[in-house]
Amino acid sequence: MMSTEPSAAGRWNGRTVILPVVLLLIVTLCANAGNILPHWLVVWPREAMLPLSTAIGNGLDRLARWHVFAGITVKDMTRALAGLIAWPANLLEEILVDGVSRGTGAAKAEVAPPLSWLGVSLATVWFGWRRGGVALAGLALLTALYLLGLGLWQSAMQTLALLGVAVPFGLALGFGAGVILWRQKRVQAPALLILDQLQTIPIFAYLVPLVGFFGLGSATAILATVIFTVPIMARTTVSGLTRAETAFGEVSDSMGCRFGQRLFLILVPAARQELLTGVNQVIMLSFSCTVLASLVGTAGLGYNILIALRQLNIGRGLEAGLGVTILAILLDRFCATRSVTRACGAGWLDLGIASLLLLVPTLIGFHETALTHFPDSWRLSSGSVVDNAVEWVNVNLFWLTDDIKAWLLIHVLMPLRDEMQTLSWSGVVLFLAFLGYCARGWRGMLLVAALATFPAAVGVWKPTMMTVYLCLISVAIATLIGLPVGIVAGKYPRWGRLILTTCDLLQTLPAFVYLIPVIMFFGSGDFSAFVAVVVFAMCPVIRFTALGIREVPLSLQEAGRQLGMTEGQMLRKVELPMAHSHILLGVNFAVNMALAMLVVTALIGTRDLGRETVNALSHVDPGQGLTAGLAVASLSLIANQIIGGFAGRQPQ
Amino acid sequence: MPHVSETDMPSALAPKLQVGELWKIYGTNAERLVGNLNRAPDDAFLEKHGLFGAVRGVNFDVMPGELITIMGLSGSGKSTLLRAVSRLIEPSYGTLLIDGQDFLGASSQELINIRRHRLGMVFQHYALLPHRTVLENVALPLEVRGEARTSRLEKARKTIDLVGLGNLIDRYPSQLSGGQQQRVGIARSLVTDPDIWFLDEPFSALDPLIRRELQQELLRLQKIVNKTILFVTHDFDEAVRLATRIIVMEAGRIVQIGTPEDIVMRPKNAYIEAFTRNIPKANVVTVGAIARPPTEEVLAGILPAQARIVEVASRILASSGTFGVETADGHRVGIIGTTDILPFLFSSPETHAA
Ligand SMILES: Nc1ncnc2c1ncn2[C@@H]1O[C@H](COP(=O)(O)OP(=O)(O)OP(=O)(O)O)[C@@H](O)[C@H]1O
Ligand SMILES: [Mg+2]
Repeated sequence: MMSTEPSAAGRWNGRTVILPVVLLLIVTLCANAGNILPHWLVVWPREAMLPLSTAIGNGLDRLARWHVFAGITVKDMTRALAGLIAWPANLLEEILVDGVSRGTGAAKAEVAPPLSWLGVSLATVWFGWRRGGVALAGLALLTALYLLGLGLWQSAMQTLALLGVAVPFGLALGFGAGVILWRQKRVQAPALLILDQLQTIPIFAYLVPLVGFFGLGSATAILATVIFTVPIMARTTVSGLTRAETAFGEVSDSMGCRFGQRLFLILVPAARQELLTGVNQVIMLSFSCTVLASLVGTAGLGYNILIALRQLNIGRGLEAGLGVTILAILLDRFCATRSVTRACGAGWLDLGIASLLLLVPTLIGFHETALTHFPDSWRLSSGSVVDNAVEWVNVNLFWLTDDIKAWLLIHVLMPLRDEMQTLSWSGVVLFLAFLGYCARGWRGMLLVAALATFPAAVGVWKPTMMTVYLCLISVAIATLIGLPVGIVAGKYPRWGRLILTTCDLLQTLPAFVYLIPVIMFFGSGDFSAFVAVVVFAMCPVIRFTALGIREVPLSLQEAGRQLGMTEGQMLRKVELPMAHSHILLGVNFAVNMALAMLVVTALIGTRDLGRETVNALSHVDPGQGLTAGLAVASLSLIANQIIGGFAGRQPQ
Repeated sequence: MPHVSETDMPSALAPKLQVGELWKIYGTNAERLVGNLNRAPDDAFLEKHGLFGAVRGVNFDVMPGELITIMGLSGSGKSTLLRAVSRLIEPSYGTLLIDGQDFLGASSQELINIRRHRLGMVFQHYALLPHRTVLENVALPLEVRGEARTSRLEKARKTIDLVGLGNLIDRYPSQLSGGQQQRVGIARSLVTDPDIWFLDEPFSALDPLIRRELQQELLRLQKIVNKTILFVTHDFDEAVRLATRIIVMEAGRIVQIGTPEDIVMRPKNAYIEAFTRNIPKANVVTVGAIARPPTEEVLAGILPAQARIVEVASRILASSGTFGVETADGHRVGIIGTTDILPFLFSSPETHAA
């Protein structure tokens, strides 16, 4: 029979498939027979440990107390800066939530009430109608009704007040950084690489140093959000401008544009589409930070989620979580849709009508408090339906959930975890380095080896292996489930639309929201973490598999049919091989998302790197948090190197 | 060295554009290496440093009002030459004079000014901004120049009328056909009323009918606005139809420069001959070029020497006599008869290839 397999490309061929297996055997052997290897190759010796954690702690401490001039320390300056950053957020909060008041304590008197809920809703709906027609107006109305009806209005406005500063700040900073990087071609590639890696450091890790410098409160929350969103905006700006420049750079030169004209008159409008996806990402990521923002003491929807999580109140948690999602989607739609009315006269008219809609109820609100604070009696009964459903499942299906959990724990999770714990660091490093060589040659090997040694050298080997174990098993299961679903989504467009839309929705939910139902069903611990990560990491696998299958050229499909292949043969011999690099990229994304989620799951009691960062938060130990964060980042970089290498290109 | 003599040009006028020993060299450290050289690079230099010369030592002058086409196979350096001459890419070595003034040495401020007022450019892929309407696209160069809104829209409207798109000014580029888009591109480059007009394969992406139409359009515009034009194409037919002179390039060098007739009648080498083989020569060759020495025959009439064969063929064939050929100032060049023009009228590619 003639082989229809494509000839093996690159360094990956039959011979090298056997070698990792051999190596794996060696590693396990080493681990189980500790007397064969010298002890320092099994457990990193205490004397050789790099004191990174304390070094970071001391360094930051010294920096904070460093005198800039005349008795003013860095910390004084950052605190002042914090005030500056918090100022607009506080102002927004006064306008949207608290109302403007004078004086303090007993002498406090309200000067003006906050904007009326009715006014804000009406103005939003009106703008929605003018910008996006009935669909957007409907979405705006739905959002307003949802938030008001479930009593989430005030929290939502608090969230908006915070993001009203964080999103523009993140956008401006990201765009500025993007423009600078776009101009400085020489530093562009390494700078983007560093930015990408920064993004894989969990946000928890830099929350502690930020609190140290900027104190608890909205300034830290805003900064953490901004740090988290800047890289993605910078990256899209660079790629958008670069692409626009190849298409329109010569035109702008030939017209004699100055730099500002070139950028704002020609390139930015031409890159509009790409920049808007950047805006979309920034909004979504900022909203996903709301729970973290509440960890440093800010109010808002995130705080509602956190409270629900602590009280295990699934109904309220889901409500608040959906509130975040629907608000994020509304804001995103507002930014993404192109204005229908283009003439500037109409724009001013719209603005006038909107401010009228906004101000009239607010002015009436001076007398009528029902218009400033939504009356409690108008609220819908909340959450009980969900709670009842959960209760029912817990009572009636307890045997099922419990059995699944017990079986998986005893037969899969625990053995694997124990096995991973006994592995020697040298064996793991060797094994990974070998994979790195297969994927990217000598340079990949050295990089992977260095990255893999890092957690051992700084003394977080045990929690790192816990993270690796949870990540491995969850991504494996996510791939097992996601692959067939993705194939279905790719092959049958009708199902595909449904599945991919669901994926989109799932991905806009803040990571914390996943935890709530999982805890309800499975309690806390490794298993819940595992389930949450599987659900969270499944989406990229599905999406990329579907994409890969869809992109198989029509000519190849026809050729396959013409050769008389069955559906199964088509899948095995044509579609899957063609989609293989897409699928690997999906797995790569899944690993990154799993690592991000694992930090969050630390809140429900896993004992991995996430735990370290969360502990650092409660001990206010920036060294510990950052070290663990860097270990997570190195894990993700290893995965990018190896999987990305096999996929044949870097993930974006 | 390639033949670049300019002796057959009228010397009374000053050239609009002078290109001297122009090089564009690509490769690692190309700029630094050429900068250190302090003299014109040569092939040995390129070879020694492993560099690649996309344009190699090009010389030519362009007279005001001339339409010069640059021809050559793909990769012969046509676009690079055009871009180097308009400084969209910086030439590695050479001199460039516009109206006798140093263009290469112009500061960035002067460069911007020259571009805003005196150079226009049309691109092969139109490069219209998708988020602007036709009117806004055409008005853009004026906007860049800082003109007031009403005056720039007014000028843009006029220019759009000139290219015959007056009824489409509010469309977006995506709502136009390729030919219409290229007309917008042409309008955009003309709206600033430039002296020198650069066109890089403006019609290559269009189908033959529309191409023909736009070529006519270009000739018409050239008559109205009377610009100095540099036009890149690799379609010899197009070059012959439009050009007052043709530059033929090969591997970054000019191999021949001359009138279409020159190139058809006296191709410098086999490479150019291959180009000209499929050209209906009667469209290119003038009767002056093929006139026999005068003999004592009875003449059926007088023909102007610069008339193309196709234009007078019917007259000659109808009378089947012999005609005298005279230049505009009455000087008798020679005579011509039916037998002289027949080979040109019925030349098929095969017979001439033989
Ligand atoms: N940025 C660059 N770096 C290196 N080599 C280049 C670069 N730009 C062009 N070249 C080379 O210079 C040569 C001339 O390119 P050019 O674009 O001028 O060709 P052309 O005659 O316009 O061809 P075409 O008819 O296909 O447009 C080509 O061999 C090309 O590979
Ligand atoms: Mg070209």
